[in-house]
Amino acid sequence: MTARADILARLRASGRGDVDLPGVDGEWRRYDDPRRQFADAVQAAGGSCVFCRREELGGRVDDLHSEVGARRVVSAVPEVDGRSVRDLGGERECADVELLLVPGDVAVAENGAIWVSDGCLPQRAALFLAQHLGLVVASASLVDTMHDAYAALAIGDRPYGVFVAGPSKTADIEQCLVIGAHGPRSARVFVVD
Amino acid sequence: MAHTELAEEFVADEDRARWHDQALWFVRAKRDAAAREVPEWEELRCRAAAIKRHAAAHLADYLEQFESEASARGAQVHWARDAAEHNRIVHGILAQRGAKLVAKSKSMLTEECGLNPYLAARGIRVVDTDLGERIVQLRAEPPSHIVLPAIHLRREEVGELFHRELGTPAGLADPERLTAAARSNLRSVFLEADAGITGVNFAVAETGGIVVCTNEGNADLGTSIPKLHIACMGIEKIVPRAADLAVFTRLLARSATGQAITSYTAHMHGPRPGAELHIVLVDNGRSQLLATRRDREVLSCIRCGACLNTCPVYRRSGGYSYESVVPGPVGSVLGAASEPEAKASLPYACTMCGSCNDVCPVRIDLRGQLFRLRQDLVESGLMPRHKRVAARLASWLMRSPRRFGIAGKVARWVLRRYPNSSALLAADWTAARELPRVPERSFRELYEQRERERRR
Ligand code: SF4
Repeated sequence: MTARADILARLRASGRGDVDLPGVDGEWRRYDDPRRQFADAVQAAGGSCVFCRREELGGRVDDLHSEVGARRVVSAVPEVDGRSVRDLGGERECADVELLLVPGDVAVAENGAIWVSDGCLPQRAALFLAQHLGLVVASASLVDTMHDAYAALAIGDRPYGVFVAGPSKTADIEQCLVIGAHGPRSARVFVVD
Repeated sequence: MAHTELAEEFVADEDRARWHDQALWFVRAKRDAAAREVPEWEELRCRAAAIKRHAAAHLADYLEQFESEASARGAQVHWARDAAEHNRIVHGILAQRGAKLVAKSKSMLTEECGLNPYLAARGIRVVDTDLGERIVQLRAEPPSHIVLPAIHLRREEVGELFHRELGTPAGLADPERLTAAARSNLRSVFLEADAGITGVNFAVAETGGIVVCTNEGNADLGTSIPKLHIACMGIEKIVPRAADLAVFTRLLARSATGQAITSYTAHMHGPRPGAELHIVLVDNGRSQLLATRRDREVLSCIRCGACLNTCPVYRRSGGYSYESVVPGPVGSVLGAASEPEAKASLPYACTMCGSCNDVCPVRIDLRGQLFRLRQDLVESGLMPRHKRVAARLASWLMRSPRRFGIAGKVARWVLRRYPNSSALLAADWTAARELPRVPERSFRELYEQRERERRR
């Protein structure tokens, strides 16, 4: 017998029981002021958040650009100038990216997470190799909880999608929080109206 | 060895034991605050428990569904009956492609299977990339906690280790600079690795995808550069629907570290273009636990570590005292349910306080399981002899009020006269604590006296 057949047979032999699968709907949290909750959550996750109009985005990105002292921006966001991610060569070239701008599809108020998929990012390594990260998301894509987020997404449509909440971090040495573990050292979210 | 013997060394260093206790209590307090932020917390726990129970009852169907969805998206699915088969499969995939260097992210399953030594013996270098796991790997130690692998170490010890292994300046103990040193050291591993191995937090039957949660981004980095990704998972990681992930991602990080969500919650459906994704489904005793309905519940565990952080015994005895890949309350249940003989002391490394039950995000009745496991141990004669004799004696005494009264009187008389005599009979109990002063009279005597006075 193959391992597969063996394992499945063992599982089936132990019977199913009659445990119903609960529904997915519920009285989940609604925020009076989701924008504020989102900004707080991003901050709690170690990132920062700015709200702006679409025309202002370029200027706000320039601010970030000089703040982090990056030589140039690599951008996956059409409205933001910079070298396009599509021109990045192999993964190893991504290691030199200082500031990367990526679009997010959904922003989650309860925890500050942004959904980013590889649809806009041919080299997913860039998301983790970049020293600093800027995430651009439309204010209309802001939802309250993870339930709303999964309802809005089709996670199986792309090979890769990730909720990003703040920069990378670790607390593995004596529970001291250190920002910038393996991935970006900073993350700023631009919520665009 | 028994838990008490294994804990001896740890508790002997009182400062460290106290510090360990407080470090974990700090995490527990953060968990409490994070849980209180969610008004529907209890509802989420109930949902999570029900989803897991349902998935366990229909696991064969969901595994088949997962396999066909994952294959449709280009992943290759493998099945392993036990640890040995798992290691053979992983090694086979790596060897076939000539992989020499592997970037591995946290996976309790590969710890359980002993994958690292297996691959090392076959000339494949495996580098653990989670900072805590890297630290314990460099020290040639196993993790002492399932979420915080190096929680037993002080910053100075990490500093010394990095000085020796990574060439950081002697005496450097600043966590920020030590982390930076590990970051630059591991960057080259990420860039040069031939393969990435990860664990799996959740696998979705409906979509054939796997979900991996990290704060450091090491799982994503380790799988986005090499052309080969091997994901190893226990068969119990399956959830039926994508929507179920909402329930679990809301619970996991809040329970584990008190964060609202981990920095990265990656969803992988099939391989990267031009790369390969292999998913290894591992049984290794799980189907057996599922077969006994009583033990089934423990497979709902999502490895958040909350029960470890809250456990008064774990906090004071350290992860190594359990001699198991998974320590703490859930490790005691897993250990004693699957290897009752070797792990017979673990159900007794529990005060029955029930705190683990209160924090477990999937509502596993850990306390009840440990209590039932004790009963099993008694029935199968695995309780140590001196405990068996003592329990029988106690039961004989307590069954008769008269015998109980006499025994109490004798004990009070002896202990008053020879206060150190307790060390003869109950050395384990009195080694680290003093007996309270023995009262003149028992409760019953006091009560009778009161009644007499009242009647007068
Ligand atoms: S048993 Fe519950 S509390 Fe303990 S690690 Fe598992 S899920 Fe977390």
